[in-house]
Amino acid sequence: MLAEHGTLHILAIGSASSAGLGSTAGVKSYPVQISDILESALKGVNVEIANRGVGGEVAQTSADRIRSEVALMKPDLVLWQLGTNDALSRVDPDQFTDVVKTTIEWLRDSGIDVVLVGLQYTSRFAKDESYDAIRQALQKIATDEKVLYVRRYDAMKFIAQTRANLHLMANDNFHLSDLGNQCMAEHVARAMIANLFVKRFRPNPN
Amino acid sequence: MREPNEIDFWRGFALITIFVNHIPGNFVERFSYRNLSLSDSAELFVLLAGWSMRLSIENPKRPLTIPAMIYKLWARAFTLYVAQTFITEIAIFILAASSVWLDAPFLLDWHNVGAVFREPIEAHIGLVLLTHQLGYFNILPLYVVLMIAAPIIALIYRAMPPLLLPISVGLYVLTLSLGINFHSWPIEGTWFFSPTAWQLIYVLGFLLAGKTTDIGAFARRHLTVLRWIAVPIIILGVVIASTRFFPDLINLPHPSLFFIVFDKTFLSPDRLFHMLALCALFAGAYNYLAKWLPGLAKFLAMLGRNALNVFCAASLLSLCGQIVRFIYGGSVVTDVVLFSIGVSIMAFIAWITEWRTRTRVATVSGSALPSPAASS
Repeated sequence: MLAEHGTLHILAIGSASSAGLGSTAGVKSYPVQISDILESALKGVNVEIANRGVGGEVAQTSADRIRSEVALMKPDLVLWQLGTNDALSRVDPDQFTDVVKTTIEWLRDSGIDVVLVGLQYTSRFAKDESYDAIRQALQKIATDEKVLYVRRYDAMKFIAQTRANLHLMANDNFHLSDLGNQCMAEHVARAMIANLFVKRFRPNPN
Repeated sequence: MREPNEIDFWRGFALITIFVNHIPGNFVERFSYRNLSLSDSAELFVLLAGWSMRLSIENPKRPLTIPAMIYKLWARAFTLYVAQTFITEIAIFILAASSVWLDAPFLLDWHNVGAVFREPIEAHIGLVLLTHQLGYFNILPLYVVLMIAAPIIALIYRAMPPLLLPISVGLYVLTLSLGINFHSWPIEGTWFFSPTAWQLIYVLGFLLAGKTTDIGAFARRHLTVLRWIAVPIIILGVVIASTRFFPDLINLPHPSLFFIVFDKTFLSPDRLFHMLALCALFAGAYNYLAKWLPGLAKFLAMLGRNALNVFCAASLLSLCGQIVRFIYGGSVVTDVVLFSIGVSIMAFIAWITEWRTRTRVATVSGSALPSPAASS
């Protein structure tokens, strides 16, 4: 189970927006917001989140960093935002799958839960084959490995198509605004809480 | 120019490997030795840096005074620092210009550069203080710190040679026990390479450079035995790398940083021993390569002789390579063309650096200017 000892340790790792970029100074970063929401929802649980988000790195580089970060921090859960930069760097989807699956399996064998946060959406890549290939690969990884996958692409696409981007997106139409970040944090936190309860109350198949 | 030699050759090899490894997903990277190895070119680069640091301050005929030695090493540290800030600025330019010309704002997120545009005040403080580093532009900051510490290494060695290795190992053990690393700022996190861990491989390079003293003499005396020990380590490395075996954290004793594999930030012991095994196995291989493939030996040695300039060029070329792949997509043809052009430009940078130096020497000595072609 996620928290057996009263404190939930989360390691946030991955791409740029996890470092709180896109927000104006003074606004809490997206991982800190997730921490606040989880603390208020899970009464009595203290949530400590370490943000090791390095913007714009590919999954291979994050995977290289995850091992020492995890060994040092021993988190209960790794929140891994990935995919966008591999797609833009035209990394082969098979190579991407290999790296991500190996890392997820190592984390799981080490008793650590994983939440994947997927690619960003922009209309420019709506028909880009390699962008779509990485997105599909990530979705398949999440299904195969049975890990919680936050479909950020679909959420952002919905925002764009409903013309909510004026409020929820930054001027570049690729990053979320402060409000958008807040919505994203709520979305991720709710998915994590729902997953927690599903795990706890899921009937035993045997 | 100095004659081609083993150190320059392997440094040239490391430079080409770094260039290839820094274009993620490219086809040529599949042939990089790191795919079958626990360590990669970063270890080789730092080991050779420690090696050449010793060669730069040891002159058997006229030993450097302590102030002269400190001046020389810190002047070198300053040169490295200038190189780091320069290539970082050019990298920022490349990403900013690409984002404008290609109408691609998402390129402003690549390689941790986002803070430069969105939190420019804090990021510029971090860039100058080396607490904000771009992705793939993080080995020179390590090198700067090691070069600043180089006089301490050299002075400990001058005062008490047998103490240097125990002190260095002690600092490494302390680092892995406590997870010591430099913090990054304004982006929350730590350096990609922990300097207090990586100093060990730098010191080992320094000590191995001693042909008649220290572990350098020991290693040369017992090279055959060491090679026999190295072979199973390298085979094990091939197995671990190709099967992607990582021991579970649950089963590891504490402190677990000593037992995880493939960890680059803290130079996990498996990487360290693997690097030393590679050194033992390939020590002296240069002599055969120079005999059988003299062109290749001369070419790589030329890159290695001009390592800093070539490294700077390689770092920027790999970033350009990533942008080319973004525009044209990744394919075998694109990647082979990128590799060929990149290595050619690295060679040109090495050649023009040597030509400039020769021209300067010739001008100072009053002789006629040599033609560039006569130099190779």
